[in-house]
Amino acid sequence: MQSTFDRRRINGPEESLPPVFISEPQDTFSNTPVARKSRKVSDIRPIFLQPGLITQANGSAYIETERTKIACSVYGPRQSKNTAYNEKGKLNVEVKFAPFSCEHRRAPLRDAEDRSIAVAIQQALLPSVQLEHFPKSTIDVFVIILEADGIEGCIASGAIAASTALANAGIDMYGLVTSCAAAVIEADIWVDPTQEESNTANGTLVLSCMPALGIVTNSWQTGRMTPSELLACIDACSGRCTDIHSVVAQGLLNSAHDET
Amino acid sequence: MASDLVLPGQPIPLPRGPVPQLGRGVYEKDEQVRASLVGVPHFEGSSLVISRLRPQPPAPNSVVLGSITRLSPLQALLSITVVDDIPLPPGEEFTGVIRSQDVRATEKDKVKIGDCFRGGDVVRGLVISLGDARSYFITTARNDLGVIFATSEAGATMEPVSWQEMRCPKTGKIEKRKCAKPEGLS
Amino acid sequence: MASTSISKAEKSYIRAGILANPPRRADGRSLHDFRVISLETGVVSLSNGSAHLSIGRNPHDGSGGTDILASVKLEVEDIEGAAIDNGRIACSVSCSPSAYPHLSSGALDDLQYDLTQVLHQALSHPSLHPKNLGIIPRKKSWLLNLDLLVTADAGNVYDALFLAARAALWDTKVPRTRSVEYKSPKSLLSTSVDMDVDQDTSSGFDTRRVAHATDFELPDYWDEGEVLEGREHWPVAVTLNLVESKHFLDATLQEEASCGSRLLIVHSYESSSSPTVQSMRILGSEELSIPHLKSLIKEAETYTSDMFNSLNAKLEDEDIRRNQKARQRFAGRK
Repeated sequence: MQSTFDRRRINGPEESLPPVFISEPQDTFSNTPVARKSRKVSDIRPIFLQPGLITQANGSAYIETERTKIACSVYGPRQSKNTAYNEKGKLNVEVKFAPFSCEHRRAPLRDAEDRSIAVAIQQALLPSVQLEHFPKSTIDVFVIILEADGIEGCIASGAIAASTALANAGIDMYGLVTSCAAAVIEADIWVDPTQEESNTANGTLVLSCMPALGIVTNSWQTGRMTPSELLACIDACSGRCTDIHSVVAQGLLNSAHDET
Repeated sequence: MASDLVLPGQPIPLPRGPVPQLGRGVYEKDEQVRASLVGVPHFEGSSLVISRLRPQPPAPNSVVLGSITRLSPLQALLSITVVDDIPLPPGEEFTGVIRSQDVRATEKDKVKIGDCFRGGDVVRGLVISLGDARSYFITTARNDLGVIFATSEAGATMEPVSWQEMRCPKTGKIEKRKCAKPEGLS
Repeated sequence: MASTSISKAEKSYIRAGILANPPRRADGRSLHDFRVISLETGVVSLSNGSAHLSIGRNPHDGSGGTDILASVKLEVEDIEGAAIDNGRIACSVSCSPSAYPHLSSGALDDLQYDLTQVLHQALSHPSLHPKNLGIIPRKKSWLLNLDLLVTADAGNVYDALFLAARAALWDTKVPRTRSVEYKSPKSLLSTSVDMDVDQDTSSGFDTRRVAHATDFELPDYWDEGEVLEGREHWPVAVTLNLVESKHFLDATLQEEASCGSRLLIVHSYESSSSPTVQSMRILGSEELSIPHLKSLIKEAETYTSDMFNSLNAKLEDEDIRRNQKARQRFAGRK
């Protein structure tokens, strides 16, 4: 620095700071929730659901809720390898993020988040599958997240897609699983939050249930909520799950009609 | 017809009268019969079922087809490719084992596996149990069970001449197999 | 996570005992009784805070029981450019193979990972973050590593982990730091030290105001530092083991293997009356209706508040005991 200093020229200031623009992108971790423009806080994003898109799989489903895009395929039941005799079947869920699914590129390696989403989806499906019909067998569920908009949305949509794919694969189930997320933002409950919204939330809940039987299969809560907020979130989520159930039912009926 | 489609978890309205036997694809919970598959519930005999044409794992009493992959003095290993007339997807075969005592119903102690099966033979068998961790136990101890397709040493498809012999049409040589009785033969 | 495999007969025996009226458990406890919990803080001399917790240890010979060692170690971390000012918390759970001799190494990794996730997601949430983990704004901060080691598992490992974590975090002392400024000639400063910029830019033209604190020193003081801010907010967890419509607490391994599902609820107490839910998980495949879930959430509050109060009392006792010890040591050094 010192050696290149040239006194004959007009030099700039010794120190400089980058200019600050008013329209600079907002800090992603800012704690100021932006009011929803496109929908009410109690509304979910529109869902597109199509069973049976992956022909080589035993069953499959594709789900899209605005920016969350997930494909799910089900293989099996096939014989469990290298495991001890088990009179119940095994439900194996694997989740993969596509490298281009998030703002930052994800290296195509198994990483920590994949497994926690897989565990959450597996828990959501587990009470719904009649595993006693599949002794010694494994049912493989592969979830590929093509585009992600918040981890809560991924778990919820992933569980819906996986349950639809299981039904499409003709796996015996007690009922269809639907799933919905809710976030507590300030004092309000916002259903189906996006990535930005859940970043500003105090706490979030993903509730999975079988609306046909009124059974909760998973609740995945993080962050801070008061018990009354939690109960309100459960109510909000279970109400939306019933709505989603009709979407799933319609999707499955349409595809069954096409097959026959 | 199509409006009768039910989805997993959906209650199935039952006709008045005695509760039917429940077959596959339906279950009962809290005295309500519900579907566990997507499909049309219908009666097969006296039991209510929702049938599906999807591959499923072998269960006791299902009839399986498979090819012999390995022989040992005590047992023959079978790679199951068809379960109850539904072929399994390639690469998702189940392993079965035919123990020497399950080959035929009589003179069980005189069975020589090498005189009953050869590698590559296609065998029809019946699942007797879920077996051990590795394989299902299969039996061929019935007239209609056993080898249904085999090639001779010369490479020709052999034809059965008795329940334990097959003949090569090319060379006329007799080879020993535990044959299945062809269908429609009195 | 059926870590023990038990026969169907044993399973139905245990379930029948729990469903019986009055309920019966193998060790004679009632449904909502805990086993004896013993806790000691400050057991690891090389860490900034530590705790040793065991549930259900045999009081006579000290055998059996779930045994957990928790330790907090603080590390100085450069945070240049990152958007974290107040330090970070990283939790990890490792399970000793001797606690799970029947698990393959792959299954053990998965188990460790799952336990870590539950703990990390609950404890590292911004709503619980202590404010005194910063050292120099925008430059250096403390990275709080909370490491737990499961040395033996006799059931109810989730509750034990949260209790041990809370005790270790309570015990943690953050060393006092003092920022140091270098008052050197301007030209030297710009070459030798990487300048960092105060982001408080009210005017875009004000480029003169820069943060001068570039390093820190540890002042010599008699104690090991100050406790974590808001340490009474660290949460406690309770696992409700569900058998049909009944639930019981503090399951042994056999009981865990025979109950279909578990509901894990993590509560934090701002004041002793009103908890906030910090995490909730369902584990297992038993059916659970929405009204049942709600009633369980309400009942969990009474269990965690009991646990919270008795743990606090114990931790304060431990503080007094340790302070006395530290004071004696300090006096002896003179």
